[in-house]
Amino acid sequence: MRRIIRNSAITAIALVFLYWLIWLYDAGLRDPRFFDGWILFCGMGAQLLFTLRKKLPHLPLGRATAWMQTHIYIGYAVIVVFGFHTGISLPDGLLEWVLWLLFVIVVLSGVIGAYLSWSIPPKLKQNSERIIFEGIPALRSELAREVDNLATHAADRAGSPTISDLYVNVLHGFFKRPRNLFAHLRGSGRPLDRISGEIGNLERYLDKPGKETLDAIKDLVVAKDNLDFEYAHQGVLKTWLFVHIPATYGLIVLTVLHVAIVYAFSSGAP
Amino acid sequence: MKRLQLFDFLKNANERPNEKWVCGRLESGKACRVGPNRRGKCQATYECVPSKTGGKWHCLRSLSDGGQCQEGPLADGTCCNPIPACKPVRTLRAKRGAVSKWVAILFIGFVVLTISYASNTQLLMPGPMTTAHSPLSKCGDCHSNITGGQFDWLHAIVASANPRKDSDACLTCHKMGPAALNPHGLASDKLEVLTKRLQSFLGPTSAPMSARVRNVVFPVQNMSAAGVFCATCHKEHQGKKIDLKAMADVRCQSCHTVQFDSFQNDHPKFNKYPFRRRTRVNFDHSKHFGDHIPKTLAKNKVTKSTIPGVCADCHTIGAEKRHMDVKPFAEMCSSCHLGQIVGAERATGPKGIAFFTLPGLDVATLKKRNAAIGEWPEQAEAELTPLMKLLIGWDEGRRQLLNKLSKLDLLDLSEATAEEIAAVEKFAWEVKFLLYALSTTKTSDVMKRISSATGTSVDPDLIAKLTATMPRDVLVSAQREWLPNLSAEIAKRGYGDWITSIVNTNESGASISSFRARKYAAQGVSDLEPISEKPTAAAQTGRSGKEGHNVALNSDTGNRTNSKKQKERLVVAQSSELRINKFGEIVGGSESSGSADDRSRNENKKSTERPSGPPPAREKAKPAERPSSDLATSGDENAKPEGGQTDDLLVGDENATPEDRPTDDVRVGDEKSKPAERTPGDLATSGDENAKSDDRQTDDLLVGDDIPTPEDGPTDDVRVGDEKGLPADTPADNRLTREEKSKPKKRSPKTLAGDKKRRRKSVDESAKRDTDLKAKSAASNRSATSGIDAETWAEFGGWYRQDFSILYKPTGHADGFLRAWLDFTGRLFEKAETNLASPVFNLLTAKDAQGQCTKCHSVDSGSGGSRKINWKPSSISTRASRFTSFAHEPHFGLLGEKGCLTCHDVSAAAGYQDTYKAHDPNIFVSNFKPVEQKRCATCHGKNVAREDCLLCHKYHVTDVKTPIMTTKIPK
Repeated sequence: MRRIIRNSAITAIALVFLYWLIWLYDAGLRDPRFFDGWILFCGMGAQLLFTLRKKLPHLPLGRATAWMQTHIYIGYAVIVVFGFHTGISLPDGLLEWVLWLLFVIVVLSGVIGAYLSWSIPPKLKQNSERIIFEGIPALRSELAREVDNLATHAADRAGSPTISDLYVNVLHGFFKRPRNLFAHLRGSGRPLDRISGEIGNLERYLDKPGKETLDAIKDLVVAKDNLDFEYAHQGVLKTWLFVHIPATYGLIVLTVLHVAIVYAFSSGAP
Repeated sequence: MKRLQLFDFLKNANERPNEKWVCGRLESGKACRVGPNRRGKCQATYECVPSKTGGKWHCLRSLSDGGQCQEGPLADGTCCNPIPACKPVRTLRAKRGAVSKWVAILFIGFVVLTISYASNTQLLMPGPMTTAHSPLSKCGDCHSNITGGQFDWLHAIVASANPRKDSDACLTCHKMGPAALNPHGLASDKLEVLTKRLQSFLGPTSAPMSARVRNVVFPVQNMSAAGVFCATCHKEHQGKKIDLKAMADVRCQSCHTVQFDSFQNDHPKFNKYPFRRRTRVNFDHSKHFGDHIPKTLAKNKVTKSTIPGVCADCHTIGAEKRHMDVKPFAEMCSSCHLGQIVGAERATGPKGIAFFTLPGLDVATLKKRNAAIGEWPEQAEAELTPLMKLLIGWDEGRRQLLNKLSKLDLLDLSEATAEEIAAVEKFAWEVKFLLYALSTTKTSDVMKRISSATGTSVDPDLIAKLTATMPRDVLVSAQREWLPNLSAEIAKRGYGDWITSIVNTNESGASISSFRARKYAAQGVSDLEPISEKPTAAAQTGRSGKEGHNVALNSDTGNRTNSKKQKERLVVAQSSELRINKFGEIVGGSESSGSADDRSRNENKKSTERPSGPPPAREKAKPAERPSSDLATSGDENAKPEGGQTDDLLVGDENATPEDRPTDDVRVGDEKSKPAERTPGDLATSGDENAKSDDRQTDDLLVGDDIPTPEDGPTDDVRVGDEKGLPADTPADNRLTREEKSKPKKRSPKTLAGDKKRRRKSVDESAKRDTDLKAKSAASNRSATSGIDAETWAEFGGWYRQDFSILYKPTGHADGFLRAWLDFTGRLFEKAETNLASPVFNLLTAKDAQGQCTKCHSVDSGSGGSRKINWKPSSISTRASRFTSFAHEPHFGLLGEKGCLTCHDVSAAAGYQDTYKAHDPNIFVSNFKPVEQKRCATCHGKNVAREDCLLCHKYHVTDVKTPIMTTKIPK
């Protein structure tokens, strides 16, 4: 929280200073839209440095967390400067509209991403295990194979269809792909409780080896649920960037065009 | 709980999350360790690459893949466990990057397509323009660096913008003068003056910190020096309804270092607002409120309804709903002040302004000293007026001549040196030339000469006003009475450079006299042939006399022909001209080709149609009673018993034979009817040689009746007109008119002494003629019908002749003649080369001047010492260049019982009138107390009414005009 207050204060002070500069610029019989436009442009350029930093992980450019925080707070400042630049009014021209929409998309996705980046990592941290997002499919497959082995072995050994039925009716689908993602995002444990309940209900029908097999399956179900939790949350953390980054690219293109047009038709305004 | 993510090298697959491609079997947990290449191609072959040691192949499969296989490599050294090929998949990062690229490409394509297919780059517009500018559909209409090509703007990115050109595009429609791009559209020197003025009452000010920082970081001075371009404040492309003129207060404070946050609290105190100069019309409110109006009401001189009772009786809101206008003179002043203008309340002096004056000369001395001034009425006593000096002194030589004369008493030249006598002689001819020029050429030609001499332009309208469209007859009749032989004298002496200059300035060669001169020259007639100094033998006879007098009176021909053939040519020439008879009817021309009898009948017919008036004297005329000498001297030389010109404006009826003459011609009829009853003195003094002194009007304004008879003197005596024209015993003072005798003239002591001396010389001769001339003078100032004098006749203004002056009496308020002369001479005031204009201006602005224009209309000093009359009171146009613009109308409903006095408190300060004695409008005492800032601040603050700068101040103080379209007439 102290960090938030500190960063927010720094951002606010910087914005007040920028506003004063823009006011001075306007008072100097200049077009402030040029001045705050360039401030906006520079802010947007600074945001891109974070991407660059991510692409150069081996260089000693400081901690990624610091870069992330800088990225987020510059992003907030850019939103305010955008308000200066547009006069907090809707655009009129077609290109202006597209540019405005892109900026809004980038900003909204960024704000949402910042919120997710702030809210999800603690949840993931609460989880007992650190799992690499890209390895989740392999782990899921491994779990599915293990469950399959257990179910097959149990059926062969006892000749009872209890476990094999459980596997066919419930577990096969559960292990085949990620399940209950929204429930995990909501923080709900109901899906796991339901499956665990179904597994528990079968205990009375099994002998001791069967119960041992069932306990092993139960562990795998919990592991799969944990994997789904990781997949859901890490997936969200990575998915919002599918909006934020492409929109940023579009924004860059139109911003360059905007600057070119502005200077082509500037009438010499400073 | 089962642990899933193992970071053990042997148990963990190589997942390569930063790579673009991963193994296609990663999701199934069976990803190979090799993985796809950078291009996404599967490069897996076998689980290991066996090695040959000691001639035997050994398996090298990694432990994570299960270690050495039992089968071992094949004989050829190939691994026995081939890896089936997979279809590599993109990593999530790669997928995101691809999406981003495609989005970027999509937008680039979108931009390129839209620009390529968008017509006239309208698509690039950041927004629609205001309604007023919306018809400007092409970018190049305003953006000078866009010349019309679809991709011009791309070039414009790198080309340096020219803001001045862009602003010039604005100024094609919004005209704001030469300094349009200067701050406030004012010239630098004016800005400097205004700044100093502000500083003078604001005192030294220190700019706030922000202003000082701004001046360092974003200095304004350089910008304002380069010009404040239109786009600096007016931001287009922000929508149709945007207010382009809206401007934040901070913009005003860019230059104005006196900065404050609110009008209510911090605005500098007003400096004598709204008074920046004295009122243009000298109207003393205090005097009127406290003195004039109560007294007038007490005297009951005017009806109460014509006396203002409330402010709105004199003031009204202007059309623009801001400024209070002053109602016109006719509505609020005329009931009390009109009489002062037209001279009704004038007790002494003439009520008219002497436009042309025949100055009085010491003719006796001039005669004695053999000065060849030609004829000159001995009884003329008028002074040389400033107007006459201005009319004569149109070149340096003449001005020097007038300067010499200023030291002389023209009525007593007994002690004058020979050089001075010569100067007087020259002057006399200048006066004659002027009269001749005025009466024979276009007035505009004479006036143009003055204008060219003064270096000013005189347009036709001004000439018309300067001469008050004076009828030619006024001049002609005056000339006939005063100098009846002027034409002959001029013809003999030559025109000097008067007529020549006129002809030269008349590009069209429209001068009648010059035209005729050329015409007659072509016919072998010498137009400029001098007449003999003594009467010719022909002049002694009737026929020759007629001939000679034609020259004298018909100035258009200005010629004396010696042969019958030439005379006939002249008759033909005259008969072909249009003329205006004394009744204002146009005759002659083609009509003149008719017989004289016809014309006579026509005129008789017209005369019988006259509604009223005394019976024409001509009815009494009988041919037999007319002596032949009469014909010889009255311009009848061209007339023949069987016909001739009877209606020439100048020659008029004199040319007609008794048979031809209309019976109602008062003048000529009289001339012939009673020749025996006329005294020589009568003829000489008033020219009314045929009239009875007791019942004849001698100075008819329109018809000259002053044809001298042979008894009066020869017409071609150019030495001293009176020598032969008057009997030797005619006393000079007998020529004094009734007016002159009844009203003492302001004469200098020297002049008066000269008069007395001259009178003493002639006292013995005057006995008989005195009586006659008294009667004659009295008659000369009376109307032919009513017996009133000429000045009274001109009751409502206009031209009239009195004594030896042609006067103009103001016709009322805003008289064009007075205004034109005041403006004209005011412009030339105190200019060295035109120093003759100043006396005229002083004459017309004197306290007792006719019309009393400057009693109310203040006189301001202008550039180079010129004078400017403020003809109009303050109006929205006079306040156009002011920075402050107060809107009166919105405040009307807010005022209480005090009304206008809420803000305009009457001041008791004295000295209002005194400031008008000088000509600096900035030195003044107001009738009202200044409006104080706190008065406005009672409402205009943060919580009640607006207080932004532009509410009361305007940036563009120069008028912004939109020129009218130049639409060609359709063919």
